[in-house]
Amino acid sequence: MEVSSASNGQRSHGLKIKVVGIGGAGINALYKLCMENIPAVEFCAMDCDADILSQCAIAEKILLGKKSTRSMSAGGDSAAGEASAMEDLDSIKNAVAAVDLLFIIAGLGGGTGGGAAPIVARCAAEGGAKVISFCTMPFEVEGAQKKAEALEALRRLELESDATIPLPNDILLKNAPADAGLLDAFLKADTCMSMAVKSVCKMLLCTGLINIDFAVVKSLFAKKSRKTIFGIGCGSGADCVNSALADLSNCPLLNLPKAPEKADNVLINVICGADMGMNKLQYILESVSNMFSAKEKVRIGAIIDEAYRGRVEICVIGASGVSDGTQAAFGGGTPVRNAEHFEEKSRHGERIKARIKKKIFKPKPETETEQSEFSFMEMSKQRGFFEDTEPNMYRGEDLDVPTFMRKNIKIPL
Amino acid sequence: MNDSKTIAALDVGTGKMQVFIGEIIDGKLLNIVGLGQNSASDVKKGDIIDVRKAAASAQAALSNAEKTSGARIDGVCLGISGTHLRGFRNVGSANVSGADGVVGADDIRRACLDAQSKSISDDKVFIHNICCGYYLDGEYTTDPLGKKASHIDAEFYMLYGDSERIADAIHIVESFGLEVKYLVVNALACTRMVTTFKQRQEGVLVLDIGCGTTDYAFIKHDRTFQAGTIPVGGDHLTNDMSFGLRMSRKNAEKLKRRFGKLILTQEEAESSVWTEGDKQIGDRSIPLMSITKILRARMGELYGIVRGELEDFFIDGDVKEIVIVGGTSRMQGIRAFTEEFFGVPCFETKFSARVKPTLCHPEYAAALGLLDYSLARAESDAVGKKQSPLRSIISKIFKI
Repeated sequence: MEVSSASNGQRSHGLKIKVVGIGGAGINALYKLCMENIPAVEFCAMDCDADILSQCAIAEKILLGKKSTRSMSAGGDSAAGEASAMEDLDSIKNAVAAVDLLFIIAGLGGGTGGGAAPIVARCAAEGGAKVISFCTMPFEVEGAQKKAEALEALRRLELESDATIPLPNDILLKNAPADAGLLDAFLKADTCMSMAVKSVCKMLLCTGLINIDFAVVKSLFAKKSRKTIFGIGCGSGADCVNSALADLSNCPLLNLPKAPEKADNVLINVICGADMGMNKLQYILESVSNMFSAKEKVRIGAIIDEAYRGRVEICVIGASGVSDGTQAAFGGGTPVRNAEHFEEKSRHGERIKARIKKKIFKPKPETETEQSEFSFMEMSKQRGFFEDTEPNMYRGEDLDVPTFMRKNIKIPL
Repeated sequence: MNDSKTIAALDVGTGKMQVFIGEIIDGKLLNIVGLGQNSASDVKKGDIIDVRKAAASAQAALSNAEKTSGARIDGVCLGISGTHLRGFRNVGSANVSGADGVVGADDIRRACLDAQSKSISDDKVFIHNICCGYYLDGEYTTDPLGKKASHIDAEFYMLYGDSERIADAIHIVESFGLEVKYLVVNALACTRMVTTFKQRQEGVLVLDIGCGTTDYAFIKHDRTFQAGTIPVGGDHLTNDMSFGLRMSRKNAEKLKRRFGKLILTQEEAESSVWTEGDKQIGDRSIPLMSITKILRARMGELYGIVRGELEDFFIDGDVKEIVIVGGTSRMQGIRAFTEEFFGVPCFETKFSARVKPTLCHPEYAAALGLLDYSLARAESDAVGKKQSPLRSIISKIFKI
């Protein structure tokens, strides 16, 4: 459905936004998002499992891998998920054709999400869409292997998407009450993803005090960035701005272990009531800019929603590690480029010293050979040609043992 | 009359020992006059398992090369690889001493000495101290002489190895009554041979995927910033296939060479191949997808390690291109897979114009690079620029 007319404060753009839920976790989150009743956004569910799709009340559904998985699940095998997506490549291309902004939501570490999501992202990007992916990462307790698979899938998804926001379940659960159950944790991830998608959609579709249109978002991700920054903070009461800023700085998505501390480009969207003053907006702009050390490349948008009287929601989206060509994002020309280039060079010296600290006699932890997390006792004997050589240890794994065995990849014969 | 001398480059590889004999004319021109090869069954993952057998194998290769060229070898440029090689970066500093604030040769020398003053344990020995460039008050330059600054930093990449293993490699040559003229880490040897000056200026990663190891070197501003060896190579691909497809190593190697592909078309993904092709007892059909799955898993893991080692350069977008050499670079679809994995262009290897087209094979890159290195060193030795550091390496190893 295209947004063709302005209603309820909606802007008319002809902008087509679609949210695709891939795999079991993705579809669960998508379902939650459907309940939010976001107007002018299309939803699509994709899975290898016909049963899950048949129980799903979303209008557009694509069953992947009718031949390869025989409409059953991918069985946690990302290679099967990938093969299924390749089998139904045409259906995927049709589903994402003519979309301007595609959100992918998926759980990584499993079969369909990990295998098919990068392919869907690639199809959409080839069709000219900007792709923003939100993906949940497995709990630590789910095992090192699942985590490794999820990281590999994340890496591939990052390559295909314009922005990728990983949501580690462990970190989301940190803020949950001590007695929270597993379902609560999954619900937390779903809520987080739906809030994020909703916020970006509102930013693009609602008429604002200061508008941010699709061109701005597009220029933010003009080139694929290494890291994406994403955070949401909400506040209410007399000091709603400060409480929203405090909530934002505590947002688990901004406190991931590998989250960048600085951003090259930052987009701030504020949803607030009519009681919000310009000085408060200025205060938000300055505070968020300081938070990400990005003073001159910040763009702010503000949407007035009467439902938000006495409260405020701040959504921050940014890109870090963007190469030189994108420094002039937001179409703002090149005034800072030379200065930045100089700054970059002078920072290089410091980075070198940091590198040295990291690289000097990089200890290959000897204890890794004694790692007990993997049940390698039997597998460690599977060294074949390398039987009479010393173990080839790297991050706790013996590289002489076939990779497919360590990664539990099934080889059909 | 021309002054010519012959030098041999010995590449102690996991799969085979390769010897190229080159003739250096007037200390400038390199002419390749002989080639010798012999299989190296006692070298695994770049490490010599049995010195005696490896020496016999190397000597056979050297004799073959001498026979084909009719030339007598004066000295050997020895290429080494192996799991024992390690490297680290070090920065040395000096304040510019001149009152006018102009960097002089003495300031550069002091910064370089400071950078190279790092000591390592007695059982290790430095092989190369590579200058990656200088920082004048924090700003990078390759040529600081005569520029204004108050402080100079020299950045060095120090490659070192295990004394015992290096002694074994030297022993292989010396037991044949030959002298080791130069000792070079294979990862560095081939870089100049397979890259252009423009590539080296902009930032190029050279991957030499051999039988037992993968040597990598990242070069920018025409300087090597990092190099090393990962003990994974073509042998691991064969071993994985042997386990995954339940066949002998020999058959797995054959199958890998014939049908090993990293990217499959839709049609290929659904097809199968016969292990022997004669449809006799023991011959069986194997899905091409299974072979590709095994190979992609291993190559993906190898590339992941490479990226981890060079993470800073990839994050900063310094790696602009990747060049792959070595026997495994012949595998179908490897360039497309490399581009897909790293998101960086990977073009066909272009050898230096000085190499005869008949020798332009990716598996010769290391040995040819060693010869090229010898030529460069012979030139610099001829003008007295540098003294060979090999003597100090040997004296440390043998405690002379």
